[in-house]
Amino acid sequence: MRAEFWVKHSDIREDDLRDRLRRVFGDDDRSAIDSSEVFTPEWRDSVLFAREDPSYRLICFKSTDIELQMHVEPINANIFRASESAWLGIKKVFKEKNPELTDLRLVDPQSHRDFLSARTGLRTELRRREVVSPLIVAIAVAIYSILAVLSFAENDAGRFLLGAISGVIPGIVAVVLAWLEARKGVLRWG
Amino acid sequence: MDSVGLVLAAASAQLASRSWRVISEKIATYRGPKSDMVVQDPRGRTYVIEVKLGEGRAHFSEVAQIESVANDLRNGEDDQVTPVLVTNRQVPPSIRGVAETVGVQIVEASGTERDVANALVEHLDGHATRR
Repeated sequence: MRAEFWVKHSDIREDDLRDRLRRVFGDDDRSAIDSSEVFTPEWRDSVLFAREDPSYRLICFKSTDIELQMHVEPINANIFRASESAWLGIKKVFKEKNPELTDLRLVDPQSHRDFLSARTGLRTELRRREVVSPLIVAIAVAIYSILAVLSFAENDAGRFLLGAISGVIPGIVAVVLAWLEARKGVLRWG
Repeated sequence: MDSVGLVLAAASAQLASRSWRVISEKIATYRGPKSDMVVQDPRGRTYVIEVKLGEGRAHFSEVAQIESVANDLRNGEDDQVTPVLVTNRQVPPSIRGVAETVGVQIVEASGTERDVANALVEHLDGHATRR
């Protein structure tokens, strides 16, 4: 089992990037490649950074000036934990360089096919069922309230809106929580 | 049949008609991973083929994976097994460069499954003739 990451970021020099990776993940250790399930020792000079800790093996490549590709193989952790840990580390590496997870795929070692992917960001959070339901209710209540205030509740608009607000609050809370989760960069699998 | 299956089926039919031997469309090696297809040209040289279809860019791991399968299939240093990665994804020069270093051939193709299969067959035919 392995995870393949595509991470977009602002332009950064190769030696600076390697240095940042070292500060977050520890020393570059190419011997990690020798025990990889996928990479052969021939790759030693082609990788940007490699490291193995008790939980997972991480191998990084600079594919373009603004994209880093990562390969994560779990060792004593499940693939989800390993991926989340690697992603949190990478967010620290690119702290002020606007890291964006373009894609993350889990690949089955037998079929070589990806079977699950993950996304991050506000759009992903807003599409979750837990957010969509209260948001739709809030929008419906808001539209109904506006129509009501303009028609049958015209004479008692204040009280009507105070009553309606309880239908809107869950939607606002859901959006705020979604925004916080997006800022944290939580991985959403699916 | 999924897109990869359609590419493999179209490529196998074309190769078989050109006297190539399609050993398996999904061979399992003894030690582990599988490739999508293993074929032999009329002179008996082996090619391990992996098809990756989708959006976005290719990944370094995909190159490493097919290289590793080719290594597993080799019976000694003289046994020539050529790994070929067929993809409709964008392949950055950095990945192409590493593929060259480790001896993996990349066939970039676009269009329908049949177009991808045609590109693969054309590549294999050209490679077998050149060698």
